[in-house]
Amino acid sequence: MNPTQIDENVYEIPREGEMRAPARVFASEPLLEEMIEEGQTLQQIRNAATFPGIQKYSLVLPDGHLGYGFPIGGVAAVSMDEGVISPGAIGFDVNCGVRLLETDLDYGDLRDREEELVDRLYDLVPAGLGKGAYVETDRADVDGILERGVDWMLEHGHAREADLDHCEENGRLPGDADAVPEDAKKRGVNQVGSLGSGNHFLEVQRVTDVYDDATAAAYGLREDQVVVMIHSGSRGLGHQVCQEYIRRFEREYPDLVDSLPDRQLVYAPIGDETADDYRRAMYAAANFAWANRQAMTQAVREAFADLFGTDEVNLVYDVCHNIAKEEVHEVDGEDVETLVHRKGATRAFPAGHPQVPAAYRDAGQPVLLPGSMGTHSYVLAGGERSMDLTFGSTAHGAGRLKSRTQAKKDYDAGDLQQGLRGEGVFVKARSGETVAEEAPGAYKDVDEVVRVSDALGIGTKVARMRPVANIKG
Amino acid sequence: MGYELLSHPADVRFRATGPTLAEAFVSAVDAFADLVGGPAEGNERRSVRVESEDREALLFDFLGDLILLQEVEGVAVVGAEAASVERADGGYGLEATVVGAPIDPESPLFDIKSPTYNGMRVEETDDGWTLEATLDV
Repeated sequence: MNPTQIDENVYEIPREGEMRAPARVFASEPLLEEMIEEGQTLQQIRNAATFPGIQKYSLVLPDGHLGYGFPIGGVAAVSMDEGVISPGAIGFDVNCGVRLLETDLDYGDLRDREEELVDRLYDLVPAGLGKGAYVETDRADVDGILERGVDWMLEHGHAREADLDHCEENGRLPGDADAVPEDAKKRGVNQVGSLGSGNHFLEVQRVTDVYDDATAAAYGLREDQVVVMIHSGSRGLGHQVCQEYIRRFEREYPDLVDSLPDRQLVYAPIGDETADDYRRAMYAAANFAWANRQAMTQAVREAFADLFGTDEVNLVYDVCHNIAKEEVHEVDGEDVETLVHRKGATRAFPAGHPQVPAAYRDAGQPVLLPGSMGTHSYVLAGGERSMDLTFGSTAHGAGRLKSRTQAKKDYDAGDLQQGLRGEGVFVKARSGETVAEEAPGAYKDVDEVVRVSDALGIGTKVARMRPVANIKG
Repeated sequence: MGYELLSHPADVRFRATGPTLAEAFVSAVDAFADLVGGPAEGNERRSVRVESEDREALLFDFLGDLILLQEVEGVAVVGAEAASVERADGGYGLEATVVGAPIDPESPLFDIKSPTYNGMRVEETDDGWTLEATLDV
């Protein structure tokens, strides 16, 4: 059954079958059409509405697309009293996320040095499998990072004090290294400061448009400024955490697995030992992801100091987009303690919310929304209506349109790189296949995703950036 | 009998076939190696053993072990020499000899995050066995 429109850019799928609540789709007509064409996205968000303890409705955001079990761009808030935690509704890459760095350089300062810059960044930031990491760590270091996140990085000289003030949760959740499986820790050694593959990237950008002068100024952004965006997550460590806990959940709740619409949605009641172990392990993996993006920040600082003689490379913000967070939300006029699962979705708290870091409490939380390497990326501000409509969430990016196999058939890496260079975008990737798979045409129209977020008032436009130099694994 | 790489909107997916379940698992290793993009041959041998409660979980766990082996030992999976599957403790046991090659840090490979259950198939057909799996990348 197709969803029914209930408001502009809001569609509802009524509760039916095993669903415990309705599901909502926040999208324009063309974006909804893409979800329907893809086939399974809407079924997946229906499945998410079967979670015990689900509040109001499960929802999918404008960039939503097929995930495994739970859609990318999906949000499910459950009550802490009666709800469940589901590793599949958070994703294998725990705290996959984005950070943005601002610099004191203008675009003109790096014109004609883009190639040198992209080469230097590619040398400093390992990408792909088997190249190591920017920060050398051993097992004991990994334990420290799991417990203390960016605090550990600061204690060991890999962060500045201000980095903590400009990071979601100040770069540290109550993680427990003991809850993290041994093989996950093994995977994490020598991955602190590494990009990985797939859609992860490090990109130098220039601010081309400012839509909201006051908020942009509060975020330290101005037109023509050079900024750097980093998209990566918790690397092998986080993936192993999710993988092993899904298996543990399956073994401990075999009857549940048989009854689920999708095995990947396996969950455990909050308060059960298994659920709480996973939550502490997931928070620890989130700390690891922040440390990873922090380490890459240090690599960017080294490159900019060497090439441009500046140490003004400052963290604007760092957001998670695969995570579950304990948050209070108003449901039917009551404040309810919830666990909000966001998978491929960004927290978007408005000005004044107590969980927005003090630095941005008056401006609203920055939301970082990457596009593809040929299009725009955006900075938004958490919108007033996000609390009412989307459990304080908005989109996380453009969302894929074409499969990797199709993109490889449709695009030639050499032509793409040449074409992008003509537009002033320098790309350096591990292989030509990576370039073709991540071609701009393989992604949805990020401008439309942002337009819908802005129109809904869940994440409002602050600034737009164009890529200058991009490295990928 | 062999494998093919299939289309998936965001991640990567393969179908592997074999006259027996064990041989289908060997084909699955070939598909995995193709996705990783390492050398065609290698001299490293590793014995991988997994025990799981059903066949889907066996495939999930086995793919997870291939990923782990690559990351922890710095070895690219290039294929498998042999595999055997047997019933074990109410579930299934799989033993495989996986062939690998050291990863050259100057030529990093495609990094696979994790196996998933998304659209997973482990099915007996008229010609033998078919495995399908999606890997999160």
